[in-house]
Amino acid sequence: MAYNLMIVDDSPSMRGVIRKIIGMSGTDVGQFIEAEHGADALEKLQGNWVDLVITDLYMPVMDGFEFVRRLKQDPMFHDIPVLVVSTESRQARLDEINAMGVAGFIHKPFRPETVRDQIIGCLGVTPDEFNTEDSGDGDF
Amino acid sequence: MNSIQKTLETVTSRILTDMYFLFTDEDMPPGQSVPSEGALGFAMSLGEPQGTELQFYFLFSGGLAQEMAENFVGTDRESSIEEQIPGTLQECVNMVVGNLLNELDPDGQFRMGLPRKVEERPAWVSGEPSIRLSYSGNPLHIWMGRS
Repeated sequence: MAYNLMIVDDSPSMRGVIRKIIGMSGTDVGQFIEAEHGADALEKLQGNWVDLVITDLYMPVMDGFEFVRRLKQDPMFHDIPVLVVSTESRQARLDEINAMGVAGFIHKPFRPETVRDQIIGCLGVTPDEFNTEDSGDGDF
Repeated sequence: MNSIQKTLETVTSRILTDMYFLFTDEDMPPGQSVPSEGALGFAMSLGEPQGTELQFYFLFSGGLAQEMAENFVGTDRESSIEEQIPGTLQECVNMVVGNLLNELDPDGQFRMGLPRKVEERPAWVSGEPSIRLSYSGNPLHIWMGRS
């Protein structure tokens, strides 16, 4: 099964790195949908089926806190799992993020296998269901 | 400020190693300056609860910028390495200052700014850099101040 993944980050480089890591993991990705900030992501969600949202927190225009809050309040999209990728690790902020119902959190800097494992966990699939090829940890 | 400076240096070295696969030169040339050709500057601030701001200015040498982009993004994107350099450095500054913030402010009182590329040195930047690092002879200098 191919998954459509949305990556929300104001840094094109970070979006590229996440795409690269997911590609290296052998993941069966149907489509990558990229957005520069929360408002851009909400707009793109209207015209695309998305299985998982991977989002940064600190972005211009609309930050990740506001984006996730709006996503979770929308009956159309509130079931989409959200994986947060951020430098943030202050407990008060993490509590705020968790209270919004995110499915996972990755702290930057990260290891590639952490990204893969968190995506598998957020989608609720087994590694075999997730991978289209036998990539193994060696590819990282 | 000395303890912040020390933490900033530690965090910067860790991020450049973990995400960009670069290791600090053990023997840094004394007083080495950042060559102006190809150098890129980035600024970022942290808002403190009392209303002041911690300001940071990162000056990357061109050689270091090139190597960071090659190691971070690689060449499998549609755009060239040169096009990836500003975004790579912006993300680096974001990660360094974000991780510094976690060390300085475990209670979440500080407000995190956004990194931005700057063509000129900010007015508050003067004198010697707070931190000098070097990677294969390519310097990275960081100035830190409070306003």
